[in-house]
Amino acid sequence: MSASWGSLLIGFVIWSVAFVAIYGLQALGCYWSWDPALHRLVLVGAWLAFTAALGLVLLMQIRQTNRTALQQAGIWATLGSLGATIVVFAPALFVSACV
Amino acid sequence: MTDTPAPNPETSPVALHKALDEIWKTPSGWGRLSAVNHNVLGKRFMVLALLFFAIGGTLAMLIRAQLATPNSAFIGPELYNQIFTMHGTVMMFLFAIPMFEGLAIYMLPKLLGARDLAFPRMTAYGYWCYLFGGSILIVAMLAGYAPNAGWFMYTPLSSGTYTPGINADVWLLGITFVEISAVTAAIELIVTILKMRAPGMSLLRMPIFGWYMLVTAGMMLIGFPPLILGSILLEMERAFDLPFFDPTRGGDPLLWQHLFWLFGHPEVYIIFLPAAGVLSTIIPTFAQRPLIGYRSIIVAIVAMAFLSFGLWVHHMFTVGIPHLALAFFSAASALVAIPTAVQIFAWIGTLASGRPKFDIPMLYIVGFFVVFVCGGLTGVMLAMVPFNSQAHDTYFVVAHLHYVLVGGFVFPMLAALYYWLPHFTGRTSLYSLSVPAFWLIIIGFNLTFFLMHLTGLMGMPRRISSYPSNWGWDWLNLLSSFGGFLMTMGFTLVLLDIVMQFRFGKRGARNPWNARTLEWAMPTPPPPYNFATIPHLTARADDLDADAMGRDAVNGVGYLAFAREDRQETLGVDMMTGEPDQVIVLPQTTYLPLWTALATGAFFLGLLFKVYWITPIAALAVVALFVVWTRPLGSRRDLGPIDIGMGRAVPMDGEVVDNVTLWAQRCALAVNATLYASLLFGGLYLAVVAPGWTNPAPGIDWLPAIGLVTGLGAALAAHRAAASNGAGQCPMFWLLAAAGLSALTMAALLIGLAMVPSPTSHANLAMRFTLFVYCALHAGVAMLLALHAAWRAHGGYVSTVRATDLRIVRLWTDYAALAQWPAWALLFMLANGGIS
Repeated sequence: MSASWGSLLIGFVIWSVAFVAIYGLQALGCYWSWDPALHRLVLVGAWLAFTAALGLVLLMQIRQTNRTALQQAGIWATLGSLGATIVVFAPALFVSACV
Repeated sequence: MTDTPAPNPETSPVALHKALDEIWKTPSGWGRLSAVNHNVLGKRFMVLALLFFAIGGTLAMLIRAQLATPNSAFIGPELYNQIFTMHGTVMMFLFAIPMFEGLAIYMLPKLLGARDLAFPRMTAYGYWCYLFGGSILIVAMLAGYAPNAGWFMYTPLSSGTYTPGINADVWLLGITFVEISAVTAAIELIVTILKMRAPGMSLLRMPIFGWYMLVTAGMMLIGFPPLILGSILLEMERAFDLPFFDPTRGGDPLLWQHLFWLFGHPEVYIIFLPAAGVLSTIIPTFAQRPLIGYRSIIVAIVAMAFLSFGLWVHHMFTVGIPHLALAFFSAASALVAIPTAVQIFAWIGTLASGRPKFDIPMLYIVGFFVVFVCGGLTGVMLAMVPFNSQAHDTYFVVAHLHYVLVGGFVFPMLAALYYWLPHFTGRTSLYSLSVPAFWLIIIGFNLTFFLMHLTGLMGMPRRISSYPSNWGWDWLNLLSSFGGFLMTMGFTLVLLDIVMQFRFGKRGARNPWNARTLEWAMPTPPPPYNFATIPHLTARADDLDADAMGRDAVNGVGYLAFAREDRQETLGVDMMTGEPDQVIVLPQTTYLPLWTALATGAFFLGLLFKVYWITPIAALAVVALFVVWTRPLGSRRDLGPIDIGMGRAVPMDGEVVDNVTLWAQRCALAVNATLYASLLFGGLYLAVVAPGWTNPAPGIDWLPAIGLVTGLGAALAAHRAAASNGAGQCPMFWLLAAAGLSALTMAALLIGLAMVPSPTSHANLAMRFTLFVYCALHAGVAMLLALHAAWRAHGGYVSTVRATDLRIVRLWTDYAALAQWPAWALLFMLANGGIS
């Protein structure tokens, strides 16, 4: 039961955690006056870590056998959340963090 | 099976109807005030929402009359401020949300195959809160004390310094009162969808409207608490001078904007998704084929729900947030167009691949496509930071939001009105006014709002009560006003059309559109119990032979084809598979929801008029009344599985672990935890962002931290109570221990509260004060719940099998104990002046 729900929701739950974490790191880095290069490194690192985590989840979902219909839908939801993670946080690569 | 009296199968469909009707009916006369039936309350919600729509529309007409010509002296600036504030407030909080709640309350049990919602008395309580809260706002407006700081009540304008009267209090307290109904509706919709579907209706056989409402209600659980918290904090600032939003004392006005839009943007999707659910239900009927992309739509609405919580800052692009943060929110704002487009293409594909037939609902669906897609495109424009900076606070934004909300909600709701009116009335429409009404609305709407894009791009700001005549806005505004009045004529014709159908419509067939969903498998207008027999589904619930199912019901085929012990019985099912697993007995008509809402109203009025001695009395009355609510619930003996027909027997709801009460408590805790997370966010936000933050700050006394230990002790005792009960022993000792330890926890936290030095002097101290209040309140409720469970156990309502009361205590005491830990972490941080 919970596996089916989890499959549908896990991708966007991770996306939500990524949003809070990366937005928080952006604000805290500015508050603590981090060196801009370090700040960017942390932000990009977090972005890549969450992207990798989602990629891993997606891989596990695809490899799962005997999927229910809800779990099949979950693959698409995770794929969507992976795309959203890549697009939404990509500005961490090049946009000024504290200005 | 047990010794429960066997049900008496009724000898004929008429006899069964009479027996069920006698049990489920709402009395006439004053007895109507005791209604708890979803048919009655759903219609009341919708009628009241339409009344508020008329009020909001009248205010819009006053706005357009004022702006029709330059330098107008029709209404002065002060009245204008009240009118545009009330227009937005009424349309968002008193029309849009309650309208779809009403539709869901009326329609969902029918679409799902249930006889009512999970908590009929909560439906009634929500309705009364909506009526009384909305009335506070309208009466204040008529008395000249309406809120006047804009529908989103930005601080510092809405703070006591700049809005010293009660106008802003009316908004904060009235809306919070109304939002009780939104939260109660969200909880019971979720529980009903998950647990009260017809047997055989697995989640993926659920009608798509059920999925839409499940996601919407889930969003409401998470979306409304930030607004409720913001309103509480702002009211605390206005009433008790706790400076959460005052930058001169460590507060920050932008905290209000964050809390408001954390609610406010998901709110747009909370309003849109039910309307999209309506479209996904109606379009297949008129396309005469099943909906294309059922699973894709489920994925799309889940994606929309999450993404919609990641774009609130696009309402704040010009407040001075770093570019990187703007880029995150800008990207998310643009991205949400994709799941929206998935649905639009699914609808177009369904129509294109079907055999579309056109009737009045389809007119409004075409209107929806045109208007909403335009609104979506201007939404993508506004998601781009450079354009947003140019168009911010201009009439372009007014045009955009009306294209989205009227296109995405009002047009689908008008389609729904024409589609389901025969269900409400049992009559066919005359349609003599329907077509001209549609054309007046669509032409009037576009004339009004399309031109606002132009006035906005020409620089006309929002919320101004007059403008000079030499800036080129004159004729555009005049035409906008003309269009507004045209649209009003259209809505008036729709109203007349409804009256005509009720008054002169002929009795019609029960399924006039040949629809394939369950709500048409019953007589129209529907009986109070919906289904004489609850059907067993073997196919997806939006591709059924509704007429054949209706005949089966008449022939007594299905579950619960009898009236038993004068109880309102319906079925509960396994959440995933839809296999029946419990009989749910619903409460019958009662005045308790009305009395409780009146007591709640007294609490809010006491706060509004600053008669503070009334508020604790009213709060106690509310608690006492809620305790009385539980009196008729439960059983004093274990019944075991009882007959439900079709050769099946299942236990009563109180005898299963996975029952609706526990689901409701989990949902309520989710609301609570979101509110708390918003409070913690507020504390962190002020520490990081607010100007004027003091460092070092006054230290903290650790004595009240004893509550951490006693709180955990209370939770442990609650677990022991449940374990003892499970082992067949009396849980009384452990319940009383949980109550005692919770009382100690509350006392410790109240001492902590009293020790906060001068909370009005700085936001840091005000935040500490609030954290103590929150935790003490939860410890107090844990104590009351433990005592209540002890009382129930003493009365014989608790057994090894019937243990819901103990599970409730366990969940709550766990939460109350754990909630203290992040509070103390934040208190420690605040005592050190921040997080540096």
